[in-house]
Amino acid sequence: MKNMIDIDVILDDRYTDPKVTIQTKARTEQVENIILAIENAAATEFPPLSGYEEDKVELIPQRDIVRVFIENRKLVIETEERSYYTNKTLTSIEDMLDPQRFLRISQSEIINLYRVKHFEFNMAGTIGVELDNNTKTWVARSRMKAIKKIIKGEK
Amino acid sequence: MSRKDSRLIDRFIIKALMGALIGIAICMILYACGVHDSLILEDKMGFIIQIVGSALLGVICNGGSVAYEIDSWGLTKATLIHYTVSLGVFILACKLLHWFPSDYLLIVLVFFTLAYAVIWMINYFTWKRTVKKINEELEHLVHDEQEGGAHS
Repeated sequence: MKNMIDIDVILDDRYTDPKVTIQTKARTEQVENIILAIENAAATEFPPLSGYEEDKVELIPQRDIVRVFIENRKLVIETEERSYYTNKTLTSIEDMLDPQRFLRISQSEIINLYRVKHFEFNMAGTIGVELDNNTKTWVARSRMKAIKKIIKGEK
Repeated sequence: MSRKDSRLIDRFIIKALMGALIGIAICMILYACGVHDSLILEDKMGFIIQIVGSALLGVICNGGSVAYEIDSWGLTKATLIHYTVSLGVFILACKLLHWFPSDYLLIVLVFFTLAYAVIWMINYFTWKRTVKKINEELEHLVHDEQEGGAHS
């Protein structure tokens, strides 16, 4: 085994996010280090958020976040199974989140587009949204224009 | 008062002013067309009352349409509230300014209500279609991501 590794870069318009494949005979420590290094390098633009669960601080990868919302004047970061608290403001969190993945749906809530089951429009004339963790919430009509753009992949 | 509330008040003022202008314009046009036989227009004072009344109606109806911009109100609630407020002021204006004979008020009421029902329906089906389209696009997007991050 040599310490050098071969790196191929293939340009392909179909990939908006880079995809990395590692070809190896076994999952050695070197391979683990490479994975770690790639993950760290890739996460710098949209870093994991820190949140409290009771007294413990944890790092929450953006992928796992289902929604971020204000409840009783506190900011809650919700994943599929857990809820974390943070002292940051919703706007400062919004700035840290991947704008192609997260939608501001109202004054008090941001959701992960890739964790949406579906949107619905009901007789009361409100836009509801159901998320992967079965939470139901509502979208402000005034946010719909921006949301449509993001879903269509426009900037 | 939050920033959102003061923005709503700003919107109300702009819309109310627009409404006042529209009210005055309609009043002038009707006057120019000669629709003043039945109205209290015998003197200048009567004319001024008509203009002020029309302007106030415009302020309430057009200004009141900010109800649709209150995000926490559903479309149905916003329509009902705007309908109730506008209808109240409209009937009051009809009575005080003698726009219609009293026995016509029922017809006025029916068409007024019909107009709001149609507006609600158009809004409702437009939103319904928008949300349906968004769901379809969402399915493509999430499906593409599951294919391994490749977007076509």
